[in-house]
Amino acid sequence: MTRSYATAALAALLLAAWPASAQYDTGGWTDYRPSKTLFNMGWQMSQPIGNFNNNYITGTSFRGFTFDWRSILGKSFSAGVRFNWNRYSNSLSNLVTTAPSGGTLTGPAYRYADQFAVSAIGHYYFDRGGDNFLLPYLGLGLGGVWSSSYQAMADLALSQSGFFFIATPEIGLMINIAKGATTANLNLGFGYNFTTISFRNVSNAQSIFETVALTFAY
Amino acid sequence: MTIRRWLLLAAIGIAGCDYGTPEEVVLGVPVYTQAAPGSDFTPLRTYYLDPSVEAYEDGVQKPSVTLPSSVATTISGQMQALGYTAATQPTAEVGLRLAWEKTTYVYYSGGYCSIYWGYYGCWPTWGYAGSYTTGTTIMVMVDLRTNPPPGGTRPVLWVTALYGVLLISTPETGAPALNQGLIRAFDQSPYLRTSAAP
Repeated sequence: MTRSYATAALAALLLAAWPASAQYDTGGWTDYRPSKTLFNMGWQMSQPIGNFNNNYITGTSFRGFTFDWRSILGKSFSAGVRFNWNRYSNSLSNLVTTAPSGGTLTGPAYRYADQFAVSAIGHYYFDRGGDNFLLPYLGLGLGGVWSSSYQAMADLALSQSGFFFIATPEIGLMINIAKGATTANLNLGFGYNFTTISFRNVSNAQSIFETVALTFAY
Repeated sequence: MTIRRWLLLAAIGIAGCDYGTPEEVVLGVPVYTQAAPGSDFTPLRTYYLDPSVEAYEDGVQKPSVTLPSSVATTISGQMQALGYTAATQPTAEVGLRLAWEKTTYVYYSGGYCSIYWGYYGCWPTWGYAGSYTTGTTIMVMVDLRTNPPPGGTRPVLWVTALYGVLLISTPETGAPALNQGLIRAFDQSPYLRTSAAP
């Protein structure tokens, strides 16, 4: 007897809840509404340029990521905060250096440089109205970057670190892959890092970067 | 900008433990060479190579060991190519002598540790430890043309230091790497050439 009461109560609860649930789904993430907030996260490649490339590390960094939060201001602008990291590294089979004392040092060496940046960011979106399957944008980031560089020969290590200024103009394209109350985009970006990072014979370390990210807007 | 050995130890903290050397260690032999300021090697003609090698282990002097024959051959070949002729100690103008130091470093970290490393000292919350050995070979070229002052030493004309993380335990077993390092030391010191060089 108790069991049949319980079954009937559960069925009544489900029947009562069903319309509300269905109504919630209809007005859920598949219903479009203008986005107010964007989260962007993805993978970042980077190539050092200038004396950062010529005097310290060559080649592409495949280790990097970016994460940012943006708040939509009006129709075409956003402002937010970005955190990103890149690691550049090199193994040198025979590095030749001259010591301050005039001696010559040669040998295999390993180098890396980490850059952790926190920037205030602003973006302008070329919003053409309608569905905006493709949404090009321009952006600028200004902030600080913590740099840590390290060199080793055998077990002899040398390192430098510091906090510096970074400016990052970028261009990009958002490709819409889902649209509703929450919108998802594939975000392809390309940009340039100017920093005041200086160590050893590197000054104002610069790089370019490419970003492949997912952007969620709601 | 500083040279810091402790940085290596700190880096080991995120490197994991191993039976051998830490990941941050770059295998290979860095070679340092330097001539005394103002040295002129062009008038020199003869050299004497000391057949014994001073040996040190963890800062303590050990009995000298015999210079491996292949190393002696390498040095003689390089010196002759630069225009020097082997001579006995009383008549030689410069003398060459080697010293070898072996040092063992023990490292420890109480930080991150994975049970998959399988090292007996590596257990979660215990930290881990390991060790590796470095070897430094120093060869000096001293001026034998004048006698040193009483209680003094002869002037050093040239020095080379070969440094590496050792995967060997004696100069004999390390001779191939030592020979390569010595050849590099001579190659990066072209100023050693005398005017008698071919």
